[in-house]
Amino acid sequence: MSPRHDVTEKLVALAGGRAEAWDELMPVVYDELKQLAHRHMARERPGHTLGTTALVHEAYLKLVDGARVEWRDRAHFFALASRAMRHILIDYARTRNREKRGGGLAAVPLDDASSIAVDDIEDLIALDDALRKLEAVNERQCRVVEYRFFGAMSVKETAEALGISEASVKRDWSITRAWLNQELGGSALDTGMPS
Amino acid sequence: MNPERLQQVQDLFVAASELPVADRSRFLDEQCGSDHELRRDVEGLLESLDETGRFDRLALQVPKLAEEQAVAPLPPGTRIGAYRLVDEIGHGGMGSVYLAERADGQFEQRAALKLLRRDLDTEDARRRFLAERQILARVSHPNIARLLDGGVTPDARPYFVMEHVEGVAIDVYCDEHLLAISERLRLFRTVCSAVHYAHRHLIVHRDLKPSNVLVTADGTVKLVDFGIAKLLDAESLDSSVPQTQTGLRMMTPEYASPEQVRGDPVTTASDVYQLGVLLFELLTGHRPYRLRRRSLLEMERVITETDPERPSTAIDRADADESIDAPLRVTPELVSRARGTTIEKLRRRLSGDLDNIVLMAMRREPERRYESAQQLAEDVRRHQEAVPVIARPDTVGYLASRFIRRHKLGVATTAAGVLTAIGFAVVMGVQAERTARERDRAEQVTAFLVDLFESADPGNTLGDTLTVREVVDRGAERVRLELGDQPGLQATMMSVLGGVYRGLGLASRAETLKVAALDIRERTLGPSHPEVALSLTDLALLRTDRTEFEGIETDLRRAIGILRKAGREYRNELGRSLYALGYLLQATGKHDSAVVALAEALEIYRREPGAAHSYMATVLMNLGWIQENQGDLDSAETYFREALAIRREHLAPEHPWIAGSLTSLATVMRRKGEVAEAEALVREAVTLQQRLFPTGHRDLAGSILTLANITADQGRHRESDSLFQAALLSYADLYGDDAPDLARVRNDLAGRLSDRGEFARAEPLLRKALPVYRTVLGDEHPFTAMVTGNLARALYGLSQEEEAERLWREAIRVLRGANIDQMMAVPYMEDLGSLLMDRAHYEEAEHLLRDALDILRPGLPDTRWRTIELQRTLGVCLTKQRRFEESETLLLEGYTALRSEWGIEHEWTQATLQRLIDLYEDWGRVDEVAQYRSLIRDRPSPE
Repeated sequence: MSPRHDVTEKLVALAGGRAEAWDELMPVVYDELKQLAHRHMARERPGHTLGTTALVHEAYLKLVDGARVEWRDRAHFFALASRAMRHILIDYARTRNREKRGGGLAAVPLDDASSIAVDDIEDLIALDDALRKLEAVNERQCRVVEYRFFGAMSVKETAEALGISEASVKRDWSITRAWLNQELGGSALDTGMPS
Repeated sequence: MNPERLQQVQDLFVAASELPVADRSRFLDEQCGSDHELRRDVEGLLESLDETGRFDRLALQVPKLAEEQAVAPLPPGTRIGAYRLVDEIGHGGMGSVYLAERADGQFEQRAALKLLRRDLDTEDARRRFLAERQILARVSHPNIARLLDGGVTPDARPYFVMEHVEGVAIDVYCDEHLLAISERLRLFRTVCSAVHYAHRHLIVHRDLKPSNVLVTADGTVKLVDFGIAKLLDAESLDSSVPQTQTGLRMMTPEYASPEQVRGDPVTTASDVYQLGVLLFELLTGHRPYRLRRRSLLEMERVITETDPERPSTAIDRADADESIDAPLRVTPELVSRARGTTIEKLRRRLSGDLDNIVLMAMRREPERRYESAQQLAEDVRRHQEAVPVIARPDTVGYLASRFIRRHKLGVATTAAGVLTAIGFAVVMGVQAERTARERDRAEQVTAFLVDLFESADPGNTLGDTLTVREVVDRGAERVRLELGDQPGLQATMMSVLGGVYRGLGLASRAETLKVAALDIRERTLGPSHPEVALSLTDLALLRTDRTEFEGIETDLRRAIGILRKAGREYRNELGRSLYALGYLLQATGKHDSAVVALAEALEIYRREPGAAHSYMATVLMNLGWIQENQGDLDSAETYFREALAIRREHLAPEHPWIAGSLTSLATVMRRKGEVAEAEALVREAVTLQQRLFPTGHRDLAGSILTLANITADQGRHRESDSLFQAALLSYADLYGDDAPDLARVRNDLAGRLSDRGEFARAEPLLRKALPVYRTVLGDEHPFTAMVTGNLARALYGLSQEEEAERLWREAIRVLRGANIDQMMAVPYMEDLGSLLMDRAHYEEAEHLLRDALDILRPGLPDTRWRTIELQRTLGVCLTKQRRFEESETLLLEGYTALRSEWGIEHEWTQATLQRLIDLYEDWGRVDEVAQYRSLIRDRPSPE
């Protein structure tokens, strides 16, 4: 059975209420995304985007038979992929960060093989830390950020995946945005340490 | 922080953020009381609401979020430079647009103020920005919104002030007003001239798209944001970043030119490209590429590596707007209705000129587009004035290949024969497989193809049935991505799919794959492996199709060398390479060498029982065409008959190639004067093709044309006229009004009309046909010369003698210099001879006519009457020179022959008789005059 077929089936099952399908799907989606990300990063010059949108959509086209899934399944897939993407990006950022520490700051130039600028690495790690905090107090808001930021999901898709209203998503997003800006250390121009 | 506490902070934050800034403090006083920590937390959140924080900076890198996260609008009354903001009228990822007015109240004029998000944080960036602004401010054109001012705010954000245009996007305007194509073209030309004006001032727009081309209520076109894209492009202002990647990130992907996508320098040619996209959209209601649901990488690939669809076929799309919220479908019906026409009429309107114009503007290589926006506009005007346009379908080579194939060469490439082509390609691809391991590969190839076609099953796809092309595109992509670790299979698959593309007429894609296959084979097998020779041969066949002859002969001779050494098991492949060489030599006019190569190929196939029948028949056909061209009709007939027999034996009874052989044989039989058999053969071909191609096909149109000529030969004018008409319509339906094939029909029909003295009808047909021949085949091609000669004949009939003379001389020069059956030149020599006699240039006329007679002398059966006719003309020429005796000999010879063959009453006999009487009159031989005059039929009495 082809992975595409398999993923599509499981996605339909997930939408049908079989929650364990989520855990079965996660490794497949994760692996696929990781492969794609690897390829992407190897080919991209340092760019203006984290490239997450492209990767998640590419994974979707590759893994899911769009003709056979509902709009809702699609949102579920993106939700899964967003979370997988978070792990991949953060793993990557932490690895790079360790390299950077090991090699000394000056020795690490912008890496041609990376789609993430050096500046972003610290921010990404800070974001991950902040999200862990957030998850402990309000899991839903954490998901909203994951889906919107790592998966580039629209308000509507996020609402669909979480089973809440679009207004709630907007509200959560506006709150967490302000909160995360504060957590990550204020103005982008400000080079001070995170508080 | 516990969840309850967080909830509390958030609730207060949300409530406070909805209040005016001035009221927030009092609100928090009330709500927080003495809980200072709570108040500090809420205030912290509120502060980060109004500034761009570190998270925002990250989020801006996710394009979707960047778009949504426009800065909070500045309140009305805010002053920026000399302007005061009135209201926010729009925002996007790059910033916000405000309606603004002069703060000093000096002018009433309202303006649009664009405030950008990005910071100009270095002095250098700021300097460049201001310098650029100065350049833009100099642009003054009625169709370009003026840049009034621009500067940098104290917090380092750049802004521009532009003439405020109250208008709607041009595509919306056109659709709302149900503008017909001609009106759309008129607007579009205005856009082009505005762009051209800016280009003359060295300003490139870089982001032309409907939303930047506005039309006001009174129908005036206004281009906005001219040059702004460059100012927005961080890298062009930031000298520390090398100017490499502008990329898709900054732009609307659908309008990005390939060089913009690649990050190559952006020039005026990029604007020409975007004008092409704009025209595409105005004409079809669709964008050239379907980029939604594609990853950035895919988009880049699509834009830089594929050609857009032709507008005339793009209108058949039914694109769902893929933002799920608005499932509006742009259907063919909607598109045609918005253009005040029907889908069929629209298709006809677009195909031909407009297809070519759009595609020329959108060529992937900047240097192959129109040189300027003005040239584009002029071509549109030419189209509107029904004058021939500059634009040609992509490669002249491609067209020429269609021509050459029709006229003399043949590897059938029929769309209906796709499956055959695929099957055939598989056979050819795997025939080379020799070892057991490679036999496995053959199975893998088959499995891969089966998989490919299963995925094309509508049940397995995103809804619509995939076209064959999409299936193959997908397959090619998979081969590229998935078979990297099996170079042998990968190369074979590329070769197979390349063959399929060739069958589909997508030569450039075929070439890409075949080149890749060759590359892989050379790399993995070494330069002298037989499989390398196969790839070389594949590529040569393709390039010959495309009339890209350079270097091919060397490649083929190398392939032949390899295969000669490869031994018996590669005999068939050797035959194929020899065939390819023959095909190439034939296409380049080296007929003698071509015959040598083809004959050897034929020998090989004859000696190999069960050899590739397809190729053997094709080789025979090619030999036949060469012989036909050289005037050896008997040999041609023999070859064609054998090819037909092979095809009848080995192919399905209703195969397009059988029809091809029938038509070729019919053409030869017609030339041999066996008109009845010719007609029977071509009628069989037509019947077969009508069954094979119920919706029309080039080969069918070709057969109808042949039938038209045959019926015309037999003087069945009414029938032949309607067949010519049918051929014209068939070609026009298939390829649009400017198809080269139409030029041939027009030429043939015009010839018939001239025969009947209807020169005034013939002339415009030929004037339309000739430029096509000149462009496609070149001035020096014998076919071009023949059309030139035909036009001269019509002009002579219309008494436009000077131009006729010039054209005849050109035609004869070319034909006499070409390595073809010189018979082709005779009619034109005779015609020019008559014209020269009219002008009393008897000596030159005589010279020409005697040359013509020399060509005819060999005395082939079908030249006898031609000879007599020529002798008659020469006789007249001699009479004029008062060389009466020589003239008498010639005229009497002709008269006698005609009289005994056709009788005294026949018009030819009578015509010759008249010349004889003229001679005797000039000579003063009264008796003969009286004697012959008595033989003239129905001659009015002298009284």
